[in-house]
Amino acid sequence: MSLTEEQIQRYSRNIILEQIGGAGQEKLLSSKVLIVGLGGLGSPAALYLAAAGVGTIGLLDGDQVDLTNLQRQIVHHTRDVGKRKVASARSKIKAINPDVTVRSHDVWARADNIREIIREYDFVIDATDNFPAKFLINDACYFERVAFSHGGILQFEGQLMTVIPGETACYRCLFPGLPPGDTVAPCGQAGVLGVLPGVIGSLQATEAIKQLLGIGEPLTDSLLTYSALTMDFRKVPAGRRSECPLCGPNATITTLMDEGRVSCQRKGCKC
Amino acid sequence: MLTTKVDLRGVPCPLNLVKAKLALEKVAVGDILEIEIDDGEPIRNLPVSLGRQGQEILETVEQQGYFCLRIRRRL
Repeated sequence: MSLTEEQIQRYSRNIILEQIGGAGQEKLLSSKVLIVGLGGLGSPAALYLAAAGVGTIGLLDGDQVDLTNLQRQIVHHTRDVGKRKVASARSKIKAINPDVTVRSHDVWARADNIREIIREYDFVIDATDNFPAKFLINDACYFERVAFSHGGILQFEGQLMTVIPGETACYRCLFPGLPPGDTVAPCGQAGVLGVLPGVIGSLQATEAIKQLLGIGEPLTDSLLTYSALTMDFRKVPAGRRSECPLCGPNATITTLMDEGRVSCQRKGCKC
Repeated sequence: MLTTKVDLRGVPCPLNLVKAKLALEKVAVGDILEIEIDDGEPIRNLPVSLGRQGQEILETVEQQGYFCLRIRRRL
């Protein structure tokens, strides 16, 4: 593969970087990243990965665009309300960068469909908004040995961590199982600062690019937390735990299972 | 030792740096790349930028109306 004249210009600011160069850009163009969730986190991740020239971007979300999404889900525009999220995001990606091949998965992530999707990709971005989906992605990536970036947000606080399954701490090393049902309010009820997922989703895209290129130090074995109100970033060390029910030596989770519905369960909820 | 030549006359800054980098990636470390560049901005910027990125500028030879830059790939 060699870069076209147009690609040399489009990606010139990447190529000029010593850690990327022409070889790195070609690597990005032949890479495949899956974004699970096309909401607040998935929006900036999709836009930046498309602009960077990640050659194949998979979009997985079974939802449609709602008016309440637009305050933070910047890949969707006002005219997209009512459209499928994957279709809405696909059109923006194509508009930014026609080099990108978009694979649309217009489904909710479930134990019986996620592994076969994930194994087609080099890296996964967990941009979901609920715990059952986060555990499902963590477990599926572990079983398929695909690296991923966990991201989560609520109100003014966000967090992220990169997981290289079998090598570094997984999500369950930190959080073994679902929190009790009423301890965490969904975003629709708790609120979220619109720009917050912009920060965390952009950091997740950064981790994806670094991992694809094999440059820098990945955010593994530590959880980065961010508070928008105080502007504190904290990197909390979080190594692998021998009691981890998934990746520890005495693992109790040996097959992929759903821990609940990954879409909101409350009737009429638009979170 | 191999010497490769690339003509970057007429290519403005900073695109000439991008193209010089791409050409350097194609020569082996230790080998030499000769780049033809324009007078003015290119000859002021390119040697400095490539030097800053760790490449070795061997010589700059003025030709008629342009320059020939000899660089050894170090990285």
